[in-house]
Amino acid sequence: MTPADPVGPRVAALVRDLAARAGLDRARAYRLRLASDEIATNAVTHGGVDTVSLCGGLDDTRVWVVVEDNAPPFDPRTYDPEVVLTDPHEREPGGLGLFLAHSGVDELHYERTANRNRTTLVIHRELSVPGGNPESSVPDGTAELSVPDASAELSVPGGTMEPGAGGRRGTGG
Amino acid sequence: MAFEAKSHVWDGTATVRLRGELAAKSAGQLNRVIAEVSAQPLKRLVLLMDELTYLSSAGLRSLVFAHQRLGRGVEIVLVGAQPEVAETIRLTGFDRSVVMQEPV
Repeated sequence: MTPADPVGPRVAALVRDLAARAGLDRARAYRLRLASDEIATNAVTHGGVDTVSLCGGLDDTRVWVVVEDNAPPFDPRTYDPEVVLTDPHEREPGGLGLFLAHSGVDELHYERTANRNRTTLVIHRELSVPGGNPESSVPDGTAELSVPDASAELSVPGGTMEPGAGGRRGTGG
Repeated sequence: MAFEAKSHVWDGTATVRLRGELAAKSAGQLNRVIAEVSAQPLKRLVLLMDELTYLSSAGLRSLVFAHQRLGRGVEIVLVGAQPEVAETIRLTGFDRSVVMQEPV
């Protein structure tokens, strides 16, 4: 049967929540969701992990999603864009997801820490600065959202995928 | 969240209406539909995309799969893609392999 896809809906729910809190427009919310989905799905299908942790946060200027997994070291910044630019008749599948993740976000950070891959995907919040008026650059009420531990509040409780999915690898190469 | 792909073939043109989210879980479903409709000789594949709300790389690979399976002689037309979906298609350059149309 079709492998379960629990990570996609979790990403969608997390980003929906973040976008609502941050007032992200539809396009930015979509890009953050897509990039996070690609990184998380990549860890499951190619990293062969049974656990992907997701959390998110926001401050005055940015909204982010952190994807963590315990797959072998994989730095998503090392993808090869040539893979994507090749004629689709000739190229091997794969590489598209990482390309979309890179293209969609304003910042992509990676670190290997405590034997885990930690990828952070960042979208900049749209701050209207009409004519350089600094007083209107930060909407009222933003301050209360800019708590450093916002990410903890937004952690997805069901962060562990069911053990049955462990070790399954995608066929995408 | 659910994905639907309804197809019919008439006079060498296969029309597939995509609805919902085309991602890792649903890509296989579209692959099967493409395989079904391409069992007969086709001149054109038309994908109606106005109700497709999400397209990840897994879904995009299904479209590339269709393109590869049908070959260069079969025109693929994507109709009415929503802005975010269209942006994904353009970013990857797949728009150069197909015809992208506004809804009629």
